[in-house]
Amino acid sequence: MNDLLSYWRRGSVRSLTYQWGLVAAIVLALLWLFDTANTNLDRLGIQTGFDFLDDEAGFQISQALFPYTAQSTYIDALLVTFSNTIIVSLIAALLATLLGFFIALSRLSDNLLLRKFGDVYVEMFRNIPLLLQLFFWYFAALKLLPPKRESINLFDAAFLNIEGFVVPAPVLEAGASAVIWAIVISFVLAFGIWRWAKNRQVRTGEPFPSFIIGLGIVIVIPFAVAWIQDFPVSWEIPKFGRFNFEGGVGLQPEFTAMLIGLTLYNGAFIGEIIRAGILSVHKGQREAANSIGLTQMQVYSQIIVPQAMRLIIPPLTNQYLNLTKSTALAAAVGYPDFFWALSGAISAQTGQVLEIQAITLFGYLGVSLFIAAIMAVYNHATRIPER
Amino acid sequence: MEPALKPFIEPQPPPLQSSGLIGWLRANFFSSWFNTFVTLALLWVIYQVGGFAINWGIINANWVGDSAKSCPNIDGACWAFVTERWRLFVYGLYPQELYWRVNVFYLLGALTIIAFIFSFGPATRKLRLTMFIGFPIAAYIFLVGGVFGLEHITPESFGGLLLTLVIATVGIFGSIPLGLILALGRTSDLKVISKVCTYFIEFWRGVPHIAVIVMFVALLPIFIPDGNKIDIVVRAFIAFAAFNSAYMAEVFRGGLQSIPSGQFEASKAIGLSYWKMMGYIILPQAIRNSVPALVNTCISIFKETTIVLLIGFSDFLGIIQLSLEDPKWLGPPHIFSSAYVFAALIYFTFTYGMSKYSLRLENRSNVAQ
Repeated sequence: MNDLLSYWRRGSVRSLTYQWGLVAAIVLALLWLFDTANTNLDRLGIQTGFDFLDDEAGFQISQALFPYTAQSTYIDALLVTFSNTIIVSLIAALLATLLGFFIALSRLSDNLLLRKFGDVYVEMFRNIPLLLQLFFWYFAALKLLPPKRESINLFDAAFLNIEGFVVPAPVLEAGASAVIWAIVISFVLAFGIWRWAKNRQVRTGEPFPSFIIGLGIVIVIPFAVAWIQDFPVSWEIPKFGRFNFEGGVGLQPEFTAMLIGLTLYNGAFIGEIIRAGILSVHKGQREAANSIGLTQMQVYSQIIVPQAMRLIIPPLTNQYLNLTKSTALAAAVGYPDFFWALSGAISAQTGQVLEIQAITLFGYLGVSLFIAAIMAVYNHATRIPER
Repeated sequence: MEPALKPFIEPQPPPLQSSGLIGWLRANFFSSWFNTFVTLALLWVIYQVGGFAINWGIINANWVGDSAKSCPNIDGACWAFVTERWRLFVYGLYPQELYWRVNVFYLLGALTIIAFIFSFGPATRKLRLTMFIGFPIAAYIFLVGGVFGLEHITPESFGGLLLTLVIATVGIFGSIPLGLILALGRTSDLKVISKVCTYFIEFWRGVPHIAVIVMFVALLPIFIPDGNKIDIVVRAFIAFAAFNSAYMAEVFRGGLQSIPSGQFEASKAIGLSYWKMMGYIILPQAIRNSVPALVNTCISIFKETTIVLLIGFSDFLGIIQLSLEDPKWLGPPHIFSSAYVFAALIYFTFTYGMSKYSLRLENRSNVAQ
């Protein structure tokens, strides 16, 4: 007995016992859950398996990036709605970052009124639930727009009405692919020059105006190619036909409401993140940079922002993750996103609860991990090199 | 040839006044032509928005009435919607003769908040702990009843602000202990325990909250033995505590990581066991450090309560949305705007209060350091 007790007092023995105990408990719990689920599913007569995904979906999706009809399969429906989730997250993240940048600037301004304006904006938008804001934009604000026949006309090219926003659609003609390639190549070239110039400056200290040259390359080469190809892109202008707009691309009010709501809400958070990042750079850094005679532009681009970035990236990643996850609220305003399809029509029609929950969780988990991975790579690239 | 004497330099004008009211105005509003422009533009915006708000919210507003018809003026708010329905918004479908029990819950909640805001001398810590443990229990007794001769009320009849606050309470008071355990697990030296906790936390943090709630509501009946039923409201409560515990865990992990390793080493050196080290040395410091982040998490939990309306619950926003769809009140968009502005004001009061509290704590700890 005494032997056993002294054996137990050994740290390694105890830690192994705890850990194997936990593993055993988890395995047992999973087995028990699996067993109860099996009996329950048998009793309810639910078939498990993912075969239902090849069946005809039978419901419409109001915004589809690629061809989709009610006769398409569930797989197609999932792909279409997943792309809708990605699209709204991407555009909202981009706009929110831009907005957040301006909010941060205004909160750091030396104009008291502008500073207060930024404060009020941030406090207002981040303290009101996102769902309430989405409701406001969708059910109250966008409903103030005029009906289709009295659309607000923007330069005869874009039309804003209660059923959405109709904008000109680009039409690619022969030779457009050459221009697209020119854009890609010019970006690669500009990036190469930037790398070369940076390396050279590190080696020899000789500066090179890589930003201006790069900007020139990115603008001039595609423009020249487009000119040679006789501008192969034309715009299809929407026109009001008998009952509806013909041509152009329509942005639906659901999409617009999601975009406005997500942008304004996340912009407030991102503004606060950027502000905190810039303020956290020690003021000696700014003073030192000023005293060696850098211009204000250089102080920001070479000294402040690179250091602030390291503090901005982790919370910004979190904010992007939150934004992407919160697009699942789209179901509330009827925007056809991934969660809308899974929790709505698909689960009502098939009753395959287990499979649908698995698809939902792993779909979103996949996106989250993807964003986290990208930001981790970026974070690694901008880290403080330790020796 | 250089002249022997340099030419006489004219006296410079005195520098611009930099003190007093004029100096303050100049420094803060008119320091450059750009700032002057911004100031004037913002003054114009404030004038326009302020004028609109007063006109819309007060002068043109309709204050009383019982249907959409009593709000004919679409240039003004329709507060009649709120004044007619406020009981429903605040108490939900709780039986009218038992409103006092809800009021007791609200009062106890307010007392708990007061206990955490103000200091009561040496008894403060004990008082806060008592409130922290006592409030959820008292809330359960008063709201659900079934004991001490109080009539039993099922949670399914909760609604309005009551449901919102109950869900927030469950989320906050459930996730704090769970989150603390998860954070200890994640920072543990035992590899397996740390890995299990990490995966658990990252899993909940990686999926949308509404998906978790739907999952619990849809799947829980499949994963429990036949014959047992869990109320749908309770399922949502469990989901809410589960995913929020993952966020709380990260808050506490931040607090634990802020403790210098010397504290751990010193505790081990004087021979404290793991639990004594944590209980007496590490956690008191770690928890104090994580309080501002904890309050911020409470703010998001409070805002997140709105998502339960997507699974058909009538929380504060849910019951407002339901009332808006009532044919009696179905009307032009200004009724919607008024309802949402009212809801926003209520939510804002809570969240802004919490954020100010967290800011005060942060400033106080900055001063203390």
